[in-house]
Parts: sequence; structure tokens; C-alpha cells
Amino acid sequence: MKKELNGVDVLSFVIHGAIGVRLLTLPRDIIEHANNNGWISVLVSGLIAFYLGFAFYWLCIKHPGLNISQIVEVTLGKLLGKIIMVGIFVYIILSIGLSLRSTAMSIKVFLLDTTPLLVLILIMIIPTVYAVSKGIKTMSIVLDILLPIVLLAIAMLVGLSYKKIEFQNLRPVFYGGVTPVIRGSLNLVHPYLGIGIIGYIFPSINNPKSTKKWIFIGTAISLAIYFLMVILTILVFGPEESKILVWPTVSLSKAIQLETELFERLESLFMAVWIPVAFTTLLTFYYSSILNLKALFNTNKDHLIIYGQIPLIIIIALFPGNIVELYKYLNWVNIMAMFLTFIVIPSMIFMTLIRKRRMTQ
Amino acid sequence: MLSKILGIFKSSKKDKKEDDCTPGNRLKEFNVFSSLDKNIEFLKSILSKSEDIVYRQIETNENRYALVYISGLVDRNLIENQILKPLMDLRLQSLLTDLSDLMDNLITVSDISKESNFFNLINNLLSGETLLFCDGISDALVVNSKGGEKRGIEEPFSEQGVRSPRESFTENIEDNITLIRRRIKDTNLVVKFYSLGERTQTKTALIYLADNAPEHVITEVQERIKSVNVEGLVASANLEQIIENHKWSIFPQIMSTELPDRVVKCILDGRVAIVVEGSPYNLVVPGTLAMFFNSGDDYYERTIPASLIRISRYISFFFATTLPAIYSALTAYHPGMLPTSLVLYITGTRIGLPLPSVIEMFFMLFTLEILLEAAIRLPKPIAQTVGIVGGLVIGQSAVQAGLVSPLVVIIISFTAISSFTLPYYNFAMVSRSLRVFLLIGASLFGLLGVVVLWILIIIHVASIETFGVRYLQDFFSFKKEKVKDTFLKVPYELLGGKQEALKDEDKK
Repeated sequence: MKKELNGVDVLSFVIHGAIGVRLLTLPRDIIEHANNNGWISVLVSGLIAFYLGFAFYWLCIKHPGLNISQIVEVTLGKLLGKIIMVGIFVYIILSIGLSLRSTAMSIKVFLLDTTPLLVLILIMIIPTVYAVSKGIKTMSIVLDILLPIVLLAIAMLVGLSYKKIEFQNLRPVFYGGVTPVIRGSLNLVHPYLGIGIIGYIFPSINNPKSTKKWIFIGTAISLAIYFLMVILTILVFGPEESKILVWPTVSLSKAIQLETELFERLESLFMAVWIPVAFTTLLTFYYSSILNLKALFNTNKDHLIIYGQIPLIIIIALFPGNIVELYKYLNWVNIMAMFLTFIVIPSMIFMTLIRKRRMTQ
Repeated sequence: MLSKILGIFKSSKKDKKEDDCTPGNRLKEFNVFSSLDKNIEFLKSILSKSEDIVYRQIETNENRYALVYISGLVDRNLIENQILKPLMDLRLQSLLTDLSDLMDNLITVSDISKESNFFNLINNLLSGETLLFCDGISDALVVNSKGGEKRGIEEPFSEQGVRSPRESFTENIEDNITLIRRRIKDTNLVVKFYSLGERTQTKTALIYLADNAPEHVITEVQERIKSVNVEGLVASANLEQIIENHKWSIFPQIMSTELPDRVVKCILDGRVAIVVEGSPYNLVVPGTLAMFFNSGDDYYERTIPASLIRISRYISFFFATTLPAIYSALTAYHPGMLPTSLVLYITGTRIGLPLPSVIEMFFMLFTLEILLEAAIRLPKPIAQTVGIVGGLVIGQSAVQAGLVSPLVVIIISFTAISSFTLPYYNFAMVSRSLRVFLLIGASLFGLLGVVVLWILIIIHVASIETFGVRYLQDFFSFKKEKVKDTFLKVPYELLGGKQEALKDEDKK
């Protein structure tokens, strides 16, 4: 693979991989477990985020030229490696399908109510497939260009809701004990596993060592964004009310009222700005899936792999009957993510260490 | 996959290359004959279809000569005073023994050469040079006597500037190269000539700085030019379309300009200029997106005003493409987003209007396109009238007749004006095309359509690669050098060389 990316391009990949459509609903999940200490949950989950970032970086540095799926095969053996890769494939496909469904539903509720879900899903798939078929340099440029939009959306939300903040919602601190906080932080594993995209782009990076700084910065920024979202939700709505909000982030934008009469119903505008954010996450996951399948079947046939996944994704996206089922399935996906993070990756690191020790002996 | 579908448009005329027996190529086998009469006869048989070729025969005591030239293409004064006069001078007759003597001692013209192959001789003749045949010698002299009427250096036609120089390129290739040479006095300046087009043999020049332009760009351009295989190359725009990477894209990948100072700035940046005979618009490759938004004037103005104007250009490009679409999307799909008073006002103006909001917008957009097209081709006396007709009659009267709402007319006019803030005229075509697509997207899917279409546009633009250089290479990869000349414009000496940026891709 040609080495087309620079170290600094990793920044946009990390942020876009981590910030996805789940940001819209996540504060509710965390607050459900951790009540008004949700913001501590996010900080705790930061440990997971940095652990993931570092783990991927380390694994890819130790196996230069291989993407993470190939590293799985190399470290865990062919049979187990293939099984894990199938597992990764299932995880990614479910992730994409359910995120797509989530995006389509939020668009349907806030932007276009009468458009059928299938149409919305197709519309989101088209730019994703188009971008992926153009190659990684194009993807990196697109992500670079769309990065300011993500930051702008968040800044807009933060800046405009300051009026409604009531600090007393933060108290009491640590009322329910530490365990709910930890349980809440585990909800964030699925978004943070989006950082795994760097595992797939490492072979295309020019000077891998320089990415360390950018991975760190990217993870820190994603963490900051999640933190801001959660803490804003708590501050503006309070824990009890947040638990009944389906899309707390969008409700935040609903709560904003501009002094001047420039725009009403800001949540539609917010949703419109959110579409690129959702799209980029889909893009990174899609690219990971393609590279994963390529490593699984050891082939280079782009067309079949890129276009063949589309029907599968559409079926998965249309599968959940309503939003409650959607969240049930998303929880399963989160459990799969936890499995990957806490079992698969440490074993890969462990095996790499053993192999290194064997080689130096 | 898209290219396969578009491949059905490719014609199968490419197999003409194998035909080596074209009349032109057959001439390569013939050399000049010794006998003067035979030479004249041969030329007359080849060029029998042209009756404007002059065969001037001279007889002196020693020898017989013949001058052949095409009357409109030559400078008559030069032929009469510097060729005929010395040849017919009785005092110098005895000096003549050989063609070399003629060349070295007699003919007082600055540019002479000897040639013996008829293929080259006829090409020279058709380019405006004079052939001199001598009886008994199987060589001919080619005297550069190019002349004839041509346009002088005038003011630019479509690219105005306030402070930029007013010279613009003309159709004559030598004048154009002179205009560039006057500004770059460097031994590293490379000027390479090619003749493109089978029937037109258009003279084309490649101009670049050898130590500045990246290697891969130079070789790529040279290869593409050498592989040009058309019957005729009439203007630089033809060449532009032939050597482009992405022929079906809306976005131009090669810049064409008629201002010498712009071309010189690009050559100094490490790009390659292509000058084509017969066209006042010269090409600069590779053309990146930032180039189309920078006007020459920016470099002559102060930093902060120039930066602000540049930012406003980007914003106005965005408006020029997206404003009709946003209006349609908001009024048709998300009226809740507008402030209440505005919604009421719009509803008020739309009472009794027959067409739905989206159709109205399409209708006005179409009218705008018609006006723009007509305005280019109008003869001067009518141009004024059409301005009034377009503005007052169509716009105002349509509103009063109750066909369209006044807000739509305002939006369309604002859009039209914004699309002309771009310094590069052809880029206005881009915004015109994108406008239509965005409007279709907005009418089908509201704001979602607009956003998704913009994402598609961004993906498309990000994937364009011209001559090994990315189209958006000034915009991605957050490095501070990149901002220096795109959104902002720093004082001149801090601009540095763009050649590092062009060489970025070289690291493969």
C-alpha cells in the first residue's frame, strides 16, 4: 500500500471515528446508570479511551505494514484469528447498520418526518460508498475538511446553552457509590472503539512514530466532547429529566432560544449540521469493514466487497421494530465492543510481548 | 464504475494512427532535387490546391534561383529588401558559388537555415517562411520571413483588475513568450516547442523553471502533450480538455488566463505554463482549487483587506451555489426554522401564486441561465436593452403579474451577482451547474438533500488529482503554511515558495 498519509491526518480519523451518531443518545445511557455523576463516568472512561489509543498504536508499531485484522491473525494464530475476524466483521456490520438506523430515525424525527426510513438510509449510504471507493487519500481529505464542522456543532451547542445551566444539578456527588459510575463509563466503550480505525490506516502512514502525539490529541478532544455533552445535559436538564429524554443532545439544542429572531427550531439546524458527523463515522467504520474482509478472505477484489455489504447493512438497519429494540441491540453491540476491548486486545498485546521475548532469546 | 458507463462515448477513431501513408508523411521520403525546374514542378504538384503561393524566379548571369512563399504569411519588405535586392545586385554576382556563400555573405536576414527534406520545407513554407532554391544544388535555404497582420498587445478582455498590469496575451505565440520573458530573466527558464494537431500543426510551447517545478509534473505534462493525437488543435481550450485528468468533472483542473503577471506568478510557484498559438488564453498546470479563488489583485493589495476579500469570496461562492437550494428547502420542508415574522411575510407574498415554491425557483433559475447566455452573445447596441428587459420586464413584471414571489427574484439576483465575484470566469460555470443539482436535491429532500449533496461535492473535489497533485492540496493537512495563501493572504515576502507544497506528493 502506498504511504500517502502523514502523521497529522490521524487526528481527524480519530475524532471522526469516536464522535458518531451515538453522541446524540449517549448522555441518557450514562445518566441512567450514574445519575448526576455521569460526568465522572466520562472522565473514568477516558482511561479506556487512552488505553485503546495507546494499545492500537503499540500493536501497529510492533507489526509494521499490517493492519489490525492481519495483526490478529499473526498474533493469535490462523484459526483463532479468522474466528476473531469474523467476530470483528459482525461487530462492525451491526455497528454500521444500527448507527445508520439511529441516524435515519433522528433525521426522521427532527428534519423530514414523512420520508420513509429506507429512503433516508439509502441517502446516507450513497456518499459513504462513493467516498470509500475513491481511496484513502480522498477519505483523509474529506475528513480533514469536515472536522471543523464537528467542532463547530459542539461549540455552537455549548456556547448557546450556557443560559440554562443550573449548577445545583451536579449535587449530590457520589450519592449512589462508585459502582454506578463505573457501570456508566462502560457505555462509552463502543464509541471509543471507533478509534480502532487507526489500526486500519497505519499501513498507509508515512512516518508512524509521529502519530503518537496526534492520537493523544485526538483522543483527548473526543473525550472532551463527550464530557461536555454529558455535563451539559446534566446541568441543563438534571438527572431525572435526562433519563426520559430519548435524544438528550438534540433536546439541548431545542432548549436554545436565540435572543435575535434569526432562527427558530434550532434542532433542525443542529440535525443538519450533524449529518456530516454521522456520515464520517459511518465512513470510518465502512473502511474498517472493507479492510477486515479483505484480510479475512485474503483477496483484493474491491468491487464485490464494497458493494456486497450494502444489502446486508440495509437489512440490519431496517430490522429493529422501534427505538426500544434499537437500543437493546445497541447494548449487545456495546457488549461485543467490551469483549473486543478487554479480552481480544490484551491477548494480542500479551502474545506480541511473548513473541518478542522469544525472538530476543 | 462510472468511467465504464462513460466509456461508451469514446469513439473508435483511434485506429487512424496506423495509417502511415498520409500525404504529409510520405513527403519525408523526398529530398531536394538538383534541378531547379524539377523542384518547382514538385512543389507545384504537391501544393496544387493553393493558388496563393508565389513562385518568384530570378535569373542572374551565374545562376538561376527561385523564391517560394505564401503571400499573406510573409513580411514583404524583408523579402524585397533583404533577399531580392542582394540577389539581384550586379556588383555581388561574382561572389556567389555556393548556397553557403549565400547564407553567410549575402542574404541579410537574421534567421536562416539549410534544409533538404521536403517534409520540413513544406512545413516551413506553410508557417510563413520563404524557401530559396538554387539551380544545381540539392539543398534549399529557409529564410524566416514571418510577418503579416496580427493583433497588438491590448488590455485584457475578461479579467479585469484594479492594480494589475494591463497587458494581456495575444494570439501570436512569440509575443506571448516575450511577455513572459520580460518578467522572468533566469537561465533556468525552459521553453520547449511542440507542433500539435495533424492538420493544424499548432505551435505550442511549454514554459517552466527547471529547478522549481517538480519532476513528476514536468514529465507528466510532456508525456501528455506528446500523446496528443487530434486532427486539429484550434485553441488552448481544446488542449486543456485533451490533457485533463478528469474530463467529466464539473471542476476545471487547468487554469487558463490572459494575464502575463498571473502566469509568471504561477511559474514562480513551480507550475508549468502552456502557450498555444492562436489563443490569447494560456494554460497553467497543475491547477489547484486555491488558484481559482486567488485573484492577481490580491497580491497587490494590503494583507488584511485582501484576506477579508478572500474570505468573502469563499462565502459568496457558497451562497452562489446554495442560496436557492436553502430557500427552497426551508420554505418547502422546514418552515419552522424561519422566524415567525419572516414566515408570515413569505406566506403573504405567496397568496394567489400558481406555482409551488420549488417550481418557482426552478423557473427563475432557468430564466437567469437564459439571460446569462444571451448576454454573452449580444451585439453591443442591444446589450443595454436586454439588461433593462431582463431586469425590469422579466423580473418586475413577473412579480406584478403574480407568477413569482418577489423574494425569489431577490434571491436569484443575489445568487447571480455572487457567482461573479470569482476572479476566474470559468469557475462561475461551476457554481451555475452546482446550483441546479443542489436545487434538485433540496426540492427532493430538503436540508438533508442539501447537506448530502455538499458532502458528495466535497468527496468529488477531494478525489480530483491533476498531474500528480491533489486538487485540494492547499487545504488539507493542518499545517500553518497552508493557510498562508488560501483563506488569508500574508505579506508578500512571507508567502514563501509553493514548490514545497507541490512536492508534497513526491514522497511516494
